Amino acid sequence: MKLLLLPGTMDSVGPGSGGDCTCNAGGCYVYSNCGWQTCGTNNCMTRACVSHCWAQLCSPRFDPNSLN
Amino acid sequence: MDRLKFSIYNRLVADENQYYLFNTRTGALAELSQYEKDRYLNLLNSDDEIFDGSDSFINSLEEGQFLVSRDLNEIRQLQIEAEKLNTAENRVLGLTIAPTLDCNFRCSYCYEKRSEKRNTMTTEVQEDLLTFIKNNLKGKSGLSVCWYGGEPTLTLSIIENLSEQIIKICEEAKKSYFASMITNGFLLTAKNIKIINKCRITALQITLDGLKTDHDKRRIHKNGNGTFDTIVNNLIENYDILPFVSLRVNTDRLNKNSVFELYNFFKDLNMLDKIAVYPGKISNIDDCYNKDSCLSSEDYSELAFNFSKITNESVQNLIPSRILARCTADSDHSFVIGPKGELYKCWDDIGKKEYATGDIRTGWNENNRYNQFKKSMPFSDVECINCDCLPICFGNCPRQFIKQKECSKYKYILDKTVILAVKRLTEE
Repeated sequence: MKLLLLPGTMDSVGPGSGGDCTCNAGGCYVYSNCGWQTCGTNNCMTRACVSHCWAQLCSPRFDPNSLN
Repeated sequence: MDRLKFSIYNRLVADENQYYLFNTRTGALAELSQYEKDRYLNLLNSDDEIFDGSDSFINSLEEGQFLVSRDLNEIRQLQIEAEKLNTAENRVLGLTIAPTLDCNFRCSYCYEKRSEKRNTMTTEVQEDLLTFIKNNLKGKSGLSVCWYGGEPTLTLSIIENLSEQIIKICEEAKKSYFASMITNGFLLTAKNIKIINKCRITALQITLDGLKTDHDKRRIHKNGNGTFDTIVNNLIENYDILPFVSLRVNTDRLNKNSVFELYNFFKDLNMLDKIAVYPGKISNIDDCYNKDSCLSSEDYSELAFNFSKITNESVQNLIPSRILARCTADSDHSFVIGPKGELYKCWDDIGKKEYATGDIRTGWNENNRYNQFKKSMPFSDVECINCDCLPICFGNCPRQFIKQKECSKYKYILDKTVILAVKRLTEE
């Protein structure tokens, strides 16, 4: 068996609901409310990133494990 | 050794002789050989106990969390995490603010036409709003504002005034600030875009319904004229100073090709670096549109999938991620604020006073509407609880959930989305 994507902690909040977001599990972080403002290693200001945020749901930088 | 069980959120996907295992709760994805697929199914359908460390295949399944502890109640786990997320400290305060319900367009499907009065925010309400923000920023890490309407650019002076003061409040309180705007784009002149940039609005959502012929049939200026040329010229002429634009293409049965045409239109203009085209589904909100014109969820899902195929959407964006909060409706730290200072739980409720759930001066009112949204959680729905898409759907739109549940597109296109993601993964 070949693991193509490891289990992540990608959780999502929808438009307008606020929250720290990342549009890219690889470290492309954007800030809040389906916005895209800052990013880490990647360029998050891409079409895919933007459309993902608005069209679907964006993924906050929220680690549910941190709540344990 | 721990006893294990298969996650209830595993989805086995077959693509001819290729097999993939996707977990909707964790986003994990694995490729299985024919032998491994058969073994997986045998284990799944067997009453034999599974222990961790039994062999390498079991270890890999456990590493991918396709196998979980026998004691784990995954549904309860989702519920707990959603509750904790909502009550966690240091969340961002999310405000969707409509400084006016007035609009320069008369779109055929607009749900705001039901509003009795197209009010604009008075100076007094603006002052009350600032007080509301100061009070509600306590305990939050930052503020996220989405300027909404009506058409917010009709009240750009109000937005300019409020932004200046809100940014000051955030800076003094050492809180982060982010702002976006939903606009029809008609008034995005160079002068106005400069004001928008000054207000630190770094993202715009603009809607087109297609190329000129389709768009102008539906998105009509209040003077009766079409609006396509003005909006597109604004984008072209001011491209260098534009914030990033999410270009939503409102889609129904009458303009199913529009999103593809607009994508190619902006691609040919070499504008996709700053303009993100994507499809949006037109719904018949509060009977404001002809429901027969709307696409079914299944048809819309197919359209969205076909659009994903022609774009270069990354694997991370193709793979559906887990949802714990859907929108303002189920987030305790988010508010929609109307021009009179009324509070709502949903963007689509704005302007209808019986849907208001409070006021910026008196605060939140846990009335029927509020409680309706609070109860619109998928954990009370038998179909949702038994659905392997629950972690990536979460009951989908809360407003729709109250009336008639509308499942997310993944109900229809999850398998082929996983296959497409694998193809992209091998290309990357």
